[in-house]
Amino acid sequence: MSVDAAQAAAPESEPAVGEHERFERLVRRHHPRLRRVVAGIVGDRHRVDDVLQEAYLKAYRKLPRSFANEAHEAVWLVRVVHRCALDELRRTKRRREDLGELGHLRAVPDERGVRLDVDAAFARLAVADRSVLLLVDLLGFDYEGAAAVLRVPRGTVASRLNAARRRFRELLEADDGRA
Amino acid sequence: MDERDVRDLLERLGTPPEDPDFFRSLRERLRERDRTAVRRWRVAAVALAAVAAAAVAAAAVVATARGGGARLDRTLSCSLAGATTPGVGVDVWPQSDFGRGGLRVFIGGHGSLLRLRGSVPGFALDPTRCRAASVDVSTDGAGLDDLHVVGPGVGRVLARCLPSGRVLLRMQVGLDPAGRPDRATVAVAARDGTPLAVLRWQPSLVRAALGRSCPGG
Repeated sequence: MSVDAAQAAAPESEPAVGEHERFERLVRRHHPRLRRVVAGIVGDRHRVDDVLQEAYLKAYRKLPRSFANEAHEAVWLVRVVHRCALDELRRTKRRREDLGELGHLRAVPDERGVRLDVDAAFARLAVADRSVLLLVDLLGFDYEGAAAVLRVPRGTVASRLNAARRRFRELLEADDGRA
Repeated sequence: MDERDVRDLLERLGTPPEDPDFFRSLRERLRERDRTAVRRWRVAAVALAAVAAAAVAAAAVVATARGGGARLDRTLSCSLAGATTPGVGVDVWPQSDFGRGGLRVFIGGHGSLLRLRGSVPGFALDPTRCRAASVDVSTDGAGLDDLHVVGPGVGRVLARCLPSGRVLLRMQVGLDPAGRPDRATVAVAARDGTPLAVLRWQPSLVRAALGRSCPGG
């Protein structure tokens, strides 16, 4: 079964017994990772839970009756959540992707200096770069999985990932230079 | 800094603390969403039932089978113009822990042409975008060699056929004495009658024979 097949599943007209439980089990399997994706994309720490709830409600409406395997399930759910995080970015007019909310933290003195530098550098990346880094380097998707989430060719994932890693390093080194 | 360093750094990205009521709140919202969906469905079901009854009567093919079941056998010619997703789709799934399975035929952007669920009496047929066709559309699957068989709880078959212009659809539905669908067949053919796909549904088994212009799986 393809990912598209799962997404095209006909919605149930009435909730099946146990459907909530099934959905919550599914969500809990991926929730910690999805929180990190949303936090990394949206940047606004106060919006993470709200975005995730909206994403899960949307996922519930489209929940396929079954998945071919766990990887398929992960791709499907991460895609829904990732898309909602992007929608949130658009809604809040946060189009200056290289100066996201986390970027403001750079100016705030904090004893967690290393974390702050990493957060600040990451927030300065374009959202496309952040997405591919989160999917491949943080969540551990392979190129095919990331391509399915992002709906881009595998080759695009590979080239985007290399560029994103390079830019991330440059931003961190620039921070080191200023320190 | 190598690839592993990047991964280590990403592990250090800050994540805000989670609202301790996150899942309780989510469960409440899911319940509310279901209540709303059921209300909408009940309103829609009344309208669809009227359409279905009219369609069955117009087809004049309701036959009383042994045991009291009824049967629909109807062939329609449907336009694919204006569909937001190309072609005609057939989505078939067998029984699972969540129900007795069902079948849906749809043209992208125009909702379901035929929709049934094994656990719900009747079926919904909305032929308003189609017209009756007198072409004999075969349901034997001859010439279609991409075969799929799906047993209970395993998955589903979704096929999307991509003929140009119009498509012929032969739809057969059998109902058990309680009025619930217990078998259905959808045959998809090009406008000249060339078979493109045949999908058979029973709660316990889904079988599909697909042609090259109906990719699916």
